[in-house]
Amino acid sequence: MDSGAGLGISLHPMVIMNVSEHFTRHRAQSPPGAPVRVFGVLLGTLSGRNVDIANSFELKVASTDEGRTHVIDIEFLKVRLDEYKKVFPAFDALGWYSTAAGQQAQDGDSHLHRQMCEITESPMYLVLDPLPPAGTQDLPITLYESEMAIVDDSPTMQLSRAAFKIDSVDSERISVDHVAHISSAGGGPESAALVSHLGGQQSAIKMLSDRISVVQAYLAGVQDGSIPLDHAAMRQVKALCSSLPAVNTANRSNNFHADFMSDYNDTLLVAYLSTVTHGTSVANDVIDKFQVGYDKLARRRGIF
Amino acid sequence: MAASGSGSASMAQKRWELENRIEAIDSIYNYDAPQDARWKAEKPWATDPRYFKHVRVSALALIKMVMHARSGGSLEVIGIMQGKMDPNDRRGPTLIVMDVFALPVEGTETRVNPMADAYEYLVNFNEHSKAVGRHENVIGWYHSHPGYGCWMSGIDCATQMTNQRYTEPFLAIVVDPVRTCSTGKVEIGAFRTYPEGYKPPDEGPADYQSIPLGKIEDFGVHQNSYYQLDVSFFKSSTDSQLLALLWNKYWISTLSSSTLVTNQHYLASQVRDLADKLEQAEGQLVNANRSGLYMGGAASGKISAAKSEESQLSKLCRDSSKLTRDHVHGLMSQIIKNTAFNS
Ligand SMILES: [Zn+2]
Repeated sequence: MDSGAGLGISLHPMVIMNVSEHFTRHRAQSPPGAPVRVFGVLLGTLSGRNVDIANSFELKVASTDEGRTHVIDIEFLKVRLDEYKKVFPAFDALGWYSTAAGQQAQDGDSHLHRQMCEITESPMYLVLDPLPPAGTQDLPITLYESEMAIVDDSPTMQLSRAAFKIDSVDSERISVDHVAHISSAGGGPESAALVSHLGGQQSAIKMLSDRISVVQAYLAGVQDGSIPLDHAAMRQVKALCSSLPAVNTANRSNNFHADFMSDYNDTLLVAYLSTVTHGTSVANDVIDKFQVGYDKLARRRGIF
Repeated sequence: MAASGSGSASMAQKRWELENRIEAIDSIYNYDAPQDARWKAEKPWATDPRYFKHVRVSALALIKMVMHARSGGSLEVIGIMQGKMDPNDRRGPTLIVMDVFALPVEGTETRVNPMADAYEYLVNFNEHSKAVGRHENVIGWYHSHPGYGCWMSGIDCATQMTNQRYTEPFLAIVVDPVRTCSTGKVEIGAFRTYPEGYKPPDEGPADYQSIPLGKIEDFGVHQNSYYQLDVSFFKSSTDSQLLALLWNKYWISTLSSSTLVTNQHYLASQVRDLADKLEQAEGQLVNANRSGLYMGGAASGKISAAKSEESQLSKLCRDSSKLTRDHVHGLMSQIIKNTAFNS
């Protein structure tokens, strides 16, 4: 993927889930085997060169010409956009999405793209393949941005592929993790929290270790000559290696070590506080019991 | 990964089973309007105040609710859930939440039925959803309790009761975005209120949760006017596939974030709250002792006072355990990372 205009585009998982749900819903409602394509609008923020695609909603599209020509219901789009802007005032329409096999822009899509230009100046276009072939390793998503080109002496809008990264805020990551790893949640709160916490860490470390193995296998292959040497890849490996260790902890006086230790000690203190609280509770318990017993004893002796 | 030659038949069998199971999973995304209307017309909930026992929430609805709640920051936000009912679920009568949308209203804890303020918006939005294939009706409302746990305040109960009277079936969901971030686990609760005047059977303590000092009174008063439903989540086959690929992309953020750092403020406020509660408990303890001294033989009164005291202290213990757990979880990730990257 190459970035033409050098925009920093980030895509939120929620948009991916939204498109996925839109597709699944339409497929479930259509007769089995019928081809399903869905269309919608991408929402988000644009500041400087940074594009943040954070939300989306469905479009009403009329298909004619045996599904080759599509016409957007622009009035409906505007009404819908107003509704979303009432709740998320920072969001603007950034472009549109559709689903297609092979995550490729389809023939009639430029027609739709031109219609979207009425809403936003240079719309982006996201294509998602909802049924990626088995063995797919990367997200089946292609993102295009609009580019002006001169064709036959007249300016024409063209689509060019754009690079994007997945961006998620904390709460989004946690909820995505939650639905990704747990098929049905709701079990015992305490032990489950520890298991899911450690499980998350474990799978992340495993992912890292898998990737390191790939690099290692590549290097071993280069060494014994079975894989051709690629200088760019070697430079990347070198850059990675030289950035380790991330922090030099051998030097005990650095800031990282101080902060780490302070976090560590804070946690120990909190654990201590909790233990003291428990102790207080137990002591209180004993005193209560003692008083009950003592009261009875005192009454029998006739003190009161 | 590799299948032996003779196993190809069983592979095909497995594939077939898998595809069918997926079909079954995805069929929840279809909406059978006449069926839904029939079930609703029977009003099975009218005779059993605890008719609905289970809630199923779609992956998308969960993510939308948590994101919306988080975008509100320390303000409470509110939204509407769209879905249907399923009286024949194997776990008992179930409410299914398919999708949610946000309402342009804030501050749900100040007035009853905040949805009424956005009624026109709600109706229009729902109509427009139907126009693009979202046929399910409104099935309830959700709102956020930033930092103070998932339960129903007095105002929430009143809102929910009003809606259960006029627009059944209706469900309330509460999300705590702050605790979600601090514990790394989605904090969500689903509730329905009892009809007015209904005395719930005494069923022992429910799932315990820590409530800040300022909210404890409100929590205690209305505790018995609603019940909590089990929540589970579902995702479509496409969701599962995309989520697995998504995880390939951003496992890094699991390693590069630290809850100890991002939630410093919340954790500190929790310690503070614990200290306040301890102080209050201490004050009451001293009072109880004094009254015990003056009242002398009136031991029975003192014992009951001591009993409530005891439960308050043991609640404090659980609060402190939870706090410690959050801290230790955060530290554990830090230690794991320190071991992995710095040694
Ligand atoms: Zn509330």
